[in-house]
Amino acid sequence: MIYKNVRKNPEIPEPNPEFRFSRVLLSGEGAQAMSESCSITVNGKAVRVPAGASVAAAVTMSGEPCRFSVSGEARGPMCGMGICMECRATVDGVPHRRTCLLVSAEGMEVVTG
Amino acid sequence: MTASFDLVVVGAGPGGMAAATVAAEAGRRVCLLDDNAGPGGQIWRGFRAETAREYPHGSGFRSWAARLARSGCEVWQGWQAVDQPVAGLLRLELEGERRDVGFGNLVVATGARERFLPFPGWTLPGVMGAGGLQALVKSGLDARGKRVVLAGSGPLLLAVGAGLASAGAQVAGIYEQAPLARLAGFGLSLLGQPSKLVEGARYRLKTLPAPYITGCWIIRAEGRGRVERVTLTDGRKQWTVECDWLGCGFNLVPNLELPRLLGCRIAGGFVAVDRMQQSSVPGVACVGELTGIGGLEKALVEGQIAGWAAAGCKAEAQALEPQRKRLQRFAVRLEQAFALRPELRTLATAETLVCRCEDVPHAALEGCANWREAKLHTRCGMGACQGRVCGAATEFLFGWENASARPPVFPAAVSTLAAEAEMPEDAL
Repeated sequence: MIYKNVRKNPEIPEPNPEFRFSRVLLSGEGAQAMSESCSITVNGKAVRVPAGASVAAAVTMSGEPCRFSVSGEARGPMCGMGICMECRATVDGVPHRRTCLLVSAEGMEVVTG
Repeated sequence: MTASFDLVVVGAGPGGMAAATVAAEAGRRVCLLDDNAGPGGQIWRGFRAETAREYPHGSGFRSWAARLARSGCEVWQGWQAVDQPVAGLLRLELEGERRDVGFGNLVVATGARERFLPFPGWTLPGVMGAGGLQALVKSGLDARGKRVVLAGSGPLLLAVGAGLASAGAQVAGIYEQAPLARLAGFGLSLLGQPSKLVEGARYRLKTLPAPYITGCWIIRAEGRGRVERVTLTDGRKQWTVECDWLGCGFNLVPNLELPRLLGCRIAGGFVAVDRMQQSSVPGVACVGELTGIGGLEKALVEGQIAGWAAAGCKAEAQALEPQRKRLQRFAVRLEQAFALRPELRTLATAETLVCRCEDVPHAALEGCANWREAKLHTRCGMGACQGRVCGAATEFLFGWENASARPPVFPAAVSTLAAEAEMPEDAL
């Protein structure tokens, strides 16, 4: 399957271990795609993600919860496809964005909770 | 100005892509709209034409994406259908912006979601849907080195396990609630469709050495601030597995909100359609998981039938009928094989939240007679997901039917809802 092929591709450099890259979206597009990563902030914390990664993926990698429920429970993404609303967060000042449907862009600011 | 099309297709998964493509190729003006960033739906999520060959099911995406791109069909990504302000007009929203689109024919291909069932600890971060986890990994979540437990029901579990293993996760175990005898019977029934058996075997090989255990189910998830371990049972003994993530879903349920809003007749939990995929509402066809959970092939065949029918090409649509029948039989067998065991109704304790949006515990629902009463008395199903999660759960737990659909079918800005319907210029 895809990811295996990616790992076997010698043209793709090893990622900077400082960041937890996913190569899932980079399959087959080689080194050029690998340079297409972007940095966003989650509650002020910088997270580097591959280009095309969803904001929900970035928030999950940051370790921050997406929101707190009406009784104060921390919640993270659940359905991954825009129906459960658990991954809602404020993105670039707009509240209640479904981060699983949103593609990360350089400099994006995400505030959760 | 409001645009208007001969055919509008809602949902750019395989069924929607097929419907839009064949109708546009037949010369109709077609608009395909979808709330995701790119086409493909769930099974083809994150696929790109250049690389799709490397994915399972990728060749299908490649050819359909290429045909769609050449077909002249307009594709509106990111738009969410929220209302039908007047007949023949859909209202859409994207980041607070409103757009109305007029249609002569409509194909609804809104697909399915996972059924989530409440159990102690299911709201902890790190507990996700099995398909949900797969979707997040497909959209960039780094799975390398993560210990993952998959539990629940359905062939999706094995597919997700294979995907996660390939993405570098350590699959700690796959736990299917259906009993082995029923699954073996299902396997035998597939002897006539060896491709499905081969697909299952490939997934299983990919997930080795993780155990795939049938006839068992999750009873709780625990951890400080996030899931750290899960406890499972086969009805006799219990055991605990450490994990970073739990992917848990109990089969799929169709996204019926839009068909219900449009007035389509629902029978047995799915949209009732005729041989041409036409619903009870004239001009509105429904395809794919909406008419029975059958997966990729069924969606493609039904999508093409609806697309041909919308383009007036009856012979082409009829030619696909034998395939449609075969795939619908597969859908029925799938449903029987993975039917949920009654023990799953007893997982939630009194304190376990059933409605995650409004934090309504199981105890609050025990005295309610039906879905409506639960909504009025407890706010169950009144939150942001509009009952998409707890509605499917309470349908199984209590037998409640959630038959109502009112606009908006998705949360939308008041200005979007309040705006006057703008009729397309060419319709005036």
